[in-house]
Amino acid sequence: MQKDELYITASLARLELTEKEADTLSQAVSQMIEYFSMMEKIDVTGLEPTTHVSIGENRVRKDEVIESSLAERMIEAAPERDERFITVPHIL
Amino acid sequence: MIESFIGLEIHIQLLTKTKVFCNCKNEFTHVPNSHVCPVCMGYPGVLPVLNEEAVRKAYIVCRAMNCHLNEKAVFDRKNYFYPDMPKNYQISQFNSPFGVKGLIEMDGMPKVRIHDAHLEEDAGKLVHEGMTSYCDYNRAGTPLLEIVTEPDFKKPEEAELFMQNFRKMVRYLGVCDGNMEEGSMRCDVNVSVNFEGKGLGRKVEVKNLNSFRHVKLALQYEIQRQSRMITAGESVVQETRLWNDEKKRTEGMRSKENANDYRYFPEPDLPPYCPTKEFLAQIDAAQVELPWVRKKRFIDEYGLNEDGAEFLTEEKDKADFFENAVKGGISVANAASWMRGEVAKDLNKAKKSLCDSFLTVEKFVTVIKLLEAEKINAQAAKKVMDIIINEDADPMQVIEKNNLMQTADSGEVEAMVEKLLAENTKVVAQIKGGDQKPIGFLIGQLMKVSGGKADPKKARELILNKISQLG
Repeated sequence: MQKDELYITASLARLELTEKEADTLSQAVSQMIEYFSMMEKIDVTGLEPTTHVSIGENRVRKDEVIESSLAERMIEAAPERDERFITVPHIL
Repeated sequence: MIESFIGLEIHIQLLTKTKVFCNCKNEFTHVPNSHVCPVCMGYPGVLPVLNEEAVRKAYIVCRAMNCHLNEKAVFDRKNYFYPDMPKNYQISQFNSPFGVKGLIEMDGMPKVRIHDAHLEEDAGKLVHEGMTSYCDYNRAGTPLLEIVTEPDFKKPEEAELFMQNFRKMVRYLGVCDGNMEEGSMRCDVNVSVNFEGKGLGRKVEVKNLNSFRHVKLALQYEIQRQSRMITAGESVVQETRLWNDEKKRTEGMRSKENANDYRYFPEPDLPPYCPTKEFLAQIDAAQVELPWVRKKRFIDEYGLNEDGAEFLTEEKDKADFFENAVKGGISVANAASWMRGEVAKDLNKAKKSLCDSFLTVEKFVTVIKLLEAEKINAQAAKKVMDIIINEDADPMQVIEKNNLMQTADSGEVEAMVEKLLAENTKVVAQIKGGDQKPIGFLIGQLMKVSGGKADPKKARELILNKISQLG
């Protein structure tokens, strides 16, 4: 993988890479991509893509309220807040 | 000649008690961050489970739009980083949504093809103030159905009319309250222009439209802006713009490069959803006659005019009320004119809608039948109507209590007229002299002394008869 491509991927995942990390990673990722290209060569005509392994009954739940006790703890744990709002720097 | 192409992306908040993948309350509240749990906040190790009511309502809409329903619907993760979604991804449907390839046909509008309708979770709400954004996650994870149309509209007015009808549809189906100001129904538009015959141009997306009027104004503005550009030989930039209602214009939105790479992949925590035959039978049973179809039928079947049919089919309960009243045996003309006139006026005054007032079809029919049989006059009917809208009262009792029955004893009214004529000799002389104007005055006086019991239609005749008898 080219390093500039790696930097784009890293920025999408919000990862900051040092030069050294980028070197190691670009090799590792290249290996992964090679592995995928090996798989891509396999003939899968007539096979439906498997998105999930457990395909049985539909899994749904009733539309019933169960209150969670998370709210207060979550607000308290927020690094920055204003009363009940969690605050972040204004971006975009 | 320049052609324009308009497509809509409509988001509707589904009316459910809970969020789409967890049991948190789906409710608007002024207490920020009160309806949150580990699932909608994306804590590690949690498992989302699909809300069956959200699924049901989503399919009801898909079916009403004649969508093809996928045998297997798959949920996908749409990855993005923005503080309105603490999970850093939104669960949506991308490759295999609930409904695809639908079609909506309305009078006075080109056929509108529906690209797809997919169920997803709404994001939290951010309030921006200065350099800070305030996050409230009560809305994060609430069920949202996104409906995407093909670019089948040519004019802003068509898009506006479609939106108005679409809103009525979701209210008829009982799946969404359709309130655009409060954001329970939202709309983004895609618009492009090109020289005639050249096909679609380069599309611009406009967001931040929270009323039908904004949709129309933003489209008009964009079409003008883009037309000017291509006429001058410039090319339109594909981008997302925001409607600025103060300045009545669209403005480019700052966005980051690569920001649109959402890296969709199948949501591993949710199995696909396969609608069963029994489930689809329930969805079919929940279908209703759609508002624009009903309006057309009201015109054809009842001979109503455009305005009347529009008014009566605005809301499903109003249309049901009208049809049940007619079935109850009163004339179409009376049912329509009383609903549009007196009833609407009284409801407006009481700030109530038909379904939360005390008026029932039975009571309404009782009053109008008495009017049609000339047992009460229009003035009395109005009085009763006002009372039975505002109070839980029986119309017959109201009529008796207020002594509103038109007196069948014509002798009583005749005596009143004679007395009136004797008291108003000047006026009588005037009428005799050929001046018809003062008759109105005498009718008014008669209504007053009879307490509204005299029939004003007959009063005129009676008064003139009596005067001629005076010789």
